[in-house]
Amino acid sequence: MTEANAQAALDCRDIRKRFHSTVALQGITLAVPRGSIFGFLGPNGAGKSTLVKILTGLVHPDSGGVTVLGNKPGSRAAQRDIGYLPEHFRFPGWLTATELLGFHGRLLGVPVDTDRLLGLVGLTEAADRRVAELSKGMQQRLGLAQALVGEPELVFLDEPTSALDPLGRIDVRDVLVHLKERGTTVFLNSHLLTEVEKICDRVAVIDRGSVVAMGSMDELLQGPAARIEVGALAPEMVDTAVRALAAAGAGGGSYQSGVLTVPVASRDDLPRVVVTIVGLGIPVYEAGLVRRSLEDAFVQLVREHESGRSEGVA
Amino acid sequence: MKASDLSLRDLSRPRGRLAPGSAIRQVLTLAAFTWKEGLRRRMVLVGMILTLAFVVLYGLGGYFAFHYQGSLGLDRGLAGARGLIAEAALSILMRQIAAYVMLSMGVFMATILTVTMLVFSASGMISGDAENGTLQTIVTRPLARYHLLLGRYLGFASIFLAYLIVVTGLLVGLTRAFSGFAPPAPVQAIGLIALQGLILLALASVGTTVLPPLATGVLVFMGYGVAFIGGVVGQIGGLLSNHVAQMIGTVVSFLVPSDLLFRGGLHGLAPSIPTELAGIVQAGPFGNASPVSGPMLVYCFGYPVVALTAACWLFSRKDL
Repeated sequence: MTEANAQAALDCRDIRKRFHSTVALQGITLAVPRGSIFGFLGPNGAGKSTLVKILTGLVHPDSGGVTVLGNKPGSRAAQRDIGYLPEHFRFPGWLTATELLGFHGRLLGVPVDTDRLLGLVGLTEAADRRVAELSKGMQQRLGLAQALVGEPELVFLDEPTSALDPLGRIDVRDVLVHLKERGTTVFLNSHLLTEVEKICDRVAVIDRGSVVAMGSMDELLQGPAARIEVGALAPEMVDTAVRALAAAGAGGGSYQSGVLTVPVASRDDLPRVVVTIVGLGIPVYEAGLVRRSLEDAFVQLVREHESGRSEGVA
Repeated sequence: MKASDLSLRDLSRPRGRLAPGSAIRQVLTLAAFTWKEGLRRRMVLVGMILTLAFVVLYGLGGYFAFHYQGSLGLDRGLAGARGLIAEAALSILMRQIAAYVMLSMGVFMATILTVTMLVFSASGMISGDAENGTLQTIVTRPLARYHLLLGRYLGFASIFLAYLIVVTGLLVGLTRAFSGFAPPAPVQAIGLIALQGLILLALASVGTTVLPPLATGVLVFMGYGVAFIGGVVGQIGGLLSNHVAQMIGTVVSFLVPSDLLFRGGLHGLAPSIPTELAGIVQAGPFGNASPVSGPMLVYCFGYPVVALTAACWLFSRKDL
């Protein structure tokens, strides 16, 4: 492996950015290995898109060091090998799908096999239709094809499936898996945690401009969780239960539609959790162990961070 | 969708340096993109149809004016002047003045039409495209931001230059056909009038890197209007030998030298009039025909260069 290949595809050190009085990013440090699919998660307004815009050279960071494929972001050397699908994008409505890809190919200086790219994203029939006539979902597919013009080494996709139906999402997932097989690095911003869970190798969770957790999917989902069916609970009761569980050494519990989910170290913790809950006078209908979903991990990480108790996982 | 359609690395390209000349190719690609946008979005079509109507009406006006000039009173216009100049010479002179007044009005209208099109089409070329999300996928291609700005400028500039040259040329030609009046320096005049387009477009380029489209449009249109009024103030200053008014006119023409070029263009179109009669023309709104001095001409060519450099610098720092 040459030195260039050994480098991380992306390397960010202590990136900070504020827009007027709003702090968007407060010291983001992360590295993305080449050839991986990297999921970047966070609540709305956490700074996900801002980081992608810094990595693609659209936004200038206030401080911090960034390299993209070993180059400065926004430099022609970096831009040559990246593809980008922004979250909010629009293509000129007066271009046809084929013309749009050809236009990007000319800017890149490479011939584009538009038929193949349109076939890849399922838009073969729309090749000669103008962008203005395409549905939002079709435009998002076209946006993905646009990001793949010129076979980039690194692809940034910011919420690439937000306008797609479930079938469209599966299509995009197939494309991403295939990109990974080809050795392409994918940086994926997404709200859709189940999707990220299925395809990402590594994940970072960001909240209010800081990385609150980063690691492989296995590291992040480490440990099982107790799933306790308790029926409807008043919010005060949920607070009481979560505090009591934390006091009993099972912190980070969460409640959603009749189910308390509590991270635990092992199966042996389950009885103690149930006893604690019953001790509060809450009826337990069913109790068992589940593998923590990314959603649980995400909710727990963000809640912990927001209540100022984050310890970080990375 | 079949992922297998994209077989491994078979489209891979050598990842060396970008080919030499790629920047020029990118700039031309973006200029062509701008032309295509104008054509596809029917700006050019609508502009052409209405301009055709404008030119036809202008031609009709010219036809009526010069074929029925007796009843228009052109030959009787200056009874008092008859003593000064021989009948025949006066008749020719009056035709020339009438032709020039018509032509200067026509050229003024062509300029206004161009400014209007420019305001509507180019005011959002950076801020508008950034707001609606068109710009981001283009800027992330391997091109410097100034290539994008230059490509767009080149595209719009060629549209408006072509428009001003063709329309002004048609007006000069029609005027000559109907009145027989041949302006003294038509090519130079058309060049100066067309150069206004480059000045105002450069102003729009600076505006659009920092202001939203609407504000940029206001900047360009008001800038043009202020320059025109500044020119009128300068003209009044000249007529009354008022140095303050002249100074105001000069300062304004440094800020936005469009009116200066317009008046310079008129100078190339104006007939030579004996001093005793010059007041007839000079009092009108298009009367301040005055040549553009050498240094000012250099300034006018330097203005878009400096403005574009500033726009490129501002654009390179802009968060998109």
